[in-house]
Amino acid sequence: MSQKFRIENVGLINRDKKLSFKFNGKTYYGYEGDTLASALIANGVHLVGRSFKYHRPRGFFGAGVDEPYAIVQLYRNGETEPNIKATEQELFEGLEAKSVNCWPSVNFDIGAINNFLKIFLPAGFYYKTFMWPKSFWYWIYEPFIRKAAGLGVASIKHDKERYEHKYEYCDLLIAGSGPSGLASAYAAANNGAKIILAEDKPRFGGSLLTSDVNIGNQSGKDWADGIIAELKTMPNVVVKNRSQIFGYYDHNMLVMSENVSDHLPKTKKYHPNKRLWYIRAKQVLISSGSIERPIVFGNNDTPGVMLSSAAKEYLKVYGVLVGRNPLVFTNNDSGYETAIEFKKHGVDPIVLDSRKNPESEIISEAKNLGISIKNSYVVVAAQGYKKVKSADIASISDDKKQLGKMENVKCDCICVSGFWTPTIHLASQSGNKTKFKEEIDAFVPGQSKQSEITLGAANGVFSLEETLKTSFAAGSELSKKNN
Amino acid sequence: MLYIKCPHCGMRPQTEFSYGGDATVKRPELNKEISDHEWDDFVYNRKSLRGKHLELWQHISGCRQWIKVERDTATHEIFKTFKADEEVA
Amino acid sequence: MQKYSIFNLVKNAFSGHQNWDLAWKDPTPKKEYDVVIIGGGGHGLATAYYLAKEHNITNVAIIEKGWIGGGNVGRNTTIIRSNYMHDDNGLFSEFGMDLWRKMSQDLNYNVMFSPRGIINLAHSDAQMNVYARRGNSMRLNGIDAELLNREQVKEIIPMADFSDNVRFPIFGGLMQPSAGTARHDAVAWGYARQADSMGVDIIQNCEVTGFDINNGKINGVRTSRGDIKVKKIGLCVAGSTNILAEKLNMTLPIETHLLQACVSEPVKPVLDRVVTFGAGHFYISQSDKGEMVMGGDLDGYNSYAQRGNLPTLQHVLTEGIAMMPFLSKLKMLRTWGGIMDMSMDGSPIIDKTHIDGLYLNCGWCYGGFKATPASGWTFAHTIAQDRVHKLNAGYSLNRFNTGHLLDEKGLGTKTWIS
Ligand SMILES: Cc1cc2nc3c(=O)[nH]c(=O)nc-3n(C[C@H](O)[C@H](O)[C@H](O)COP(=O)(O)OP(=O)(O)OC[C@H]3O[C@@H](n4cnc5c(N)ncnc54)[C@H](O)[C@@H]3O)c2cc1C
Ligand SMILES: [Zn+2]
Repeated sequence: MSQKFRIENVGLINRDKKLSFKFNGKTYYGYEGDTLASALIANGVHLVGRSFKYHRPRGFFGAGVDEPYAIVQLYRNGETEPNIKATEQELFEGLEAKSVNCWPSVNFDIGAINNFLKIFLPAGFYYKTFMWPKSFWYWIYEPFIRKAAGLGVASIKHDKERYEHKYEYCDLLIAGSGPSGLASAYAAANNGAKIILAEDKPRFGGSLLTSDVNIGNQSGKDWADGIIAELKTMPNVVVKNRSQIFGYYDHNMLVMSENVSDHLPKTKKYHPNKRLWYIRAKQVLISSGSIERPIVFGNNDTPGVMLSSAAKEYLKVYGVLVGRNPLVFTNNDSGYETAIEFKKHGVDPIVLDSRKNPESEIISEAKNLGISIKNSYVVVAAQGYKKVKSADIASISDDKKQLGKMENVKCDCICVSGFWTPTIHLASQSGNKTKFKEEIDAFVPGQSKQSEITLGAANGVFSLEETLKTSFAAGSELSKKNN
Repeated sequence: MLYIKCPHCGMRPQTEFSYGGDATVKRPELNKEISDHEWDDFVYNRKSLRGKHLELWQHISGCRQWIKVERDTATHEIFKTFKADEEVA
Repeated sequence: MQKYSIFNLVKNAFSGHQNWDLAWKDPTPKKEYDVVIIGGGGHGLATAYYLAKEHNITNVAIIEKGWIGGGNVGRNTTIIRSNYMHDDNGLFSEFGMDLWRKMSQDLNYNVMFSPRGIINLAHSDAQMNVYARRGNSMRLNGIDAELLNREQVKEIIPMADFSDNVRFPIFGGLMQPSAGTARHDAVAWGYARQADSMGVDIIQNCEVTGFDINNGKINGVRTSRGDIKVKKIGLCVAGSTNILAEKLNMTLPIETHLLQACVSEPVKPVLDRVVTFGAGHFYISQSDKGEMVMGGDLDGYNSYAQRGNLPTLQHVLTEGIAMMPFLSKLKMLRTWGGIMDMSMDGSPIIDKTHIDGLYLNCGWCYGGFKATPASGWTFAHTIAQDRVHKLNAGYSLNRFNTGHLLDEKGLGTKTWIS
């Protein structure tokens, strides 16, 4: 079977290594470096699951850890694991996955009847009913609710994998390898500080992998590769990919989960499946970036509606088109980056911008490329059940209170950008009380509680230049303090 | 995880220690007649307040000495640690 | 009050669920009440409900510093049981079991009481003997108990570790088939809604900051929203008991400690019982949503932080994996902590005090959720009649003075002694 949505010569995947995998019993192909999500999209598969309560069709909304929908049952080396995010699971030869929470199949799911009963099933409806006759709760209602609940199936086989624990101490722990993480790591490492740099994803570089920027005379990605290569040669630096810092505890103790084997068909002999690191850091630098915000409109959970940043990542990292007829719906400049990427690869997007007369360099660039842009326009609803088929759109008044006449435009995906939300949970876990930053309509870390500092997009700073400058300065300052 | 400075061994993770409770509790004097009430206060009754708390810990996986730790029960911040026989100002 | 039923659910569906009455109001505090209950947790809310329902006392305020249900009643692992050996504990808890069985109908609020049975695993012959003794005591008190052998346990929970060469072999277990779980926030909300409908004022975002005592008698209470005159106060603040005790010049046989719990991602039903590990401190059940709900030991030092540290959680989950190895593949979704009123013998206190009009309800340790209805019922009685009921007579404050401790299993504060 062909990968109809894969485009030539783009992306960071290894096209020399083709991998076969199965989804819901059907065989597909992808490449080394794909995630299960990117490989499925390359094959035009967007329907991957059903929602928890109403069993509405579910596709891909993001491209990483923030994915809310694409949750699958994974089969690996004779074992099965529930609730794996397809956007995080790296593809390996022989991978098998299935949709969860649907019966008899994801395409035809009986539970979807709840979707038609939903007016009777508001949040917390169960508190108000199932009380009569009394004995029915025990024998009928509760068993029924229990059966309906849960997503994947837990295997009750004994887990034969090994898990390791490890303790580490460092001067500076850096969470996230985007521009701010790399710049600060580089500065601190050259001061001789003992550093651990952790990256959740398989690839280092964060936003540099998908944005069209130059640092010095290099592309952002080449710059990132160069820094990582240099850091890896330094004895005072530990650089870890596939490693997520997931907890910030008392007295600057953080924990990191390192995925050692789950991206391979089989765990190697004497290797653990995962490794848990307890890290006692003198200083913590949180450079965990930001996550794009969705925009609310009717049926915005339909498969094919996704974050514009995710669409861009599928294109730039995996060489995959999420659609051939995209609608980009944005309220800020970020949507244009995605539109431009589409255009550069021979696809004609339509951009709806809820703003009246936005002006910026990137908008001019989009206009020069001949991208069609509708200002003061919004998506009112997505149409299509198992996949977006069109969108109801309308103009919107300046005070955002009145909609104009509704029109219907054909499209096969809707890429939304509602601006950015800093990823601040590590700062919050340290005890840092967040503060609201009006300019970006989002919370950012407030006063540091433990020895932590948050930089770059995670701190609500979205300019690359400023991020690099402040991060470099912070890296060198923090490492001086410790030597 | 708490990071406790043992006055004998230096900074050590909490998992090396065992907790011993309120360090301000004084045993009634030996060979002196005491009321049930005093005995109660010694054995069972504790202030256990929010904020600064002076407490005993034993460095069981280290030097095995009992030590005193001044810690905040709301934030878990440790202000100071003392040897068992050291006077706390 | 508007009734909750399938008919009203359908009826309201057609008005977009916009016309439901508020479940409880948001009154401004009055100048004076007959009774003030401090703490809008499960126990405070239940006490107010039974004061109104059983004793016709409705000029009552519940004063809660945060929001109702934000304390331990919304943080526990929802295990409900009466598998105690001592009479005082067994009879009190079994009285509560009866109230649990009727609760959804009584409150007209589905609290999802789910009597799925609890199994305490035994990992040695000695432990089997202890369980046999406890089971016999339970039966003598009219509580259902079954001693299970290894094969019987295996039939019920095949996913536990029955393999050879296991560190903690399962010898059998003690089961109380009528024990189970309930939806904790529904319990708080159900009591609140009924108490409110009978005239009780539920006052949230109001902190009690002091007391007005005259000649050894309660005269009033000071709050962040003004002073209130009152002759009777019921103290139900769980982990914050010591703070208010200090304002009363009292030192209690209680320490405030931190207990964590966690849930896994939701999975299809695999475990339909509550199971506890016998070789450590770990308990597990699966919620109706599919999450595995797990908990265990205290963090082990006095704390008012409603957040714990990883070593304790890891220790607890390691026990879980020893008991049910498949758990290692599940991802943890949330962890949290609550502050616990740990009494010195592991049993609670529901009693009058040396101050006239001050009533004490505290010391619930790991097990106060299951006690919610019985505690509310007996505490309401104690406040209304100004004397303890025989069900809570054993939970006296001066038992520490007289030596009549109720040290069932000794799960008091001093875990390091065991
Ligand atoms: C992690 C965890 C797991 C548990 N698991 C179980 C279990 O499985 N089974 C079981 O039976 N029990 C369990 N428990 C114990 C049980 O939850 C508690 O014993 C019980 O909830 C305590 O009573 P409550 O509901 O009234 O307390 P809370 O809900 O804590 O109510 C006390 C209220 O008082 C308020 N308050 C405090 N100070 C003031 C003030 N000055 N002024 C006004 N208001 C104030 C607080 O804000 C709080 O809302 C568990 C507890 C925890 C933390
Ligand atoms: Zn020591």
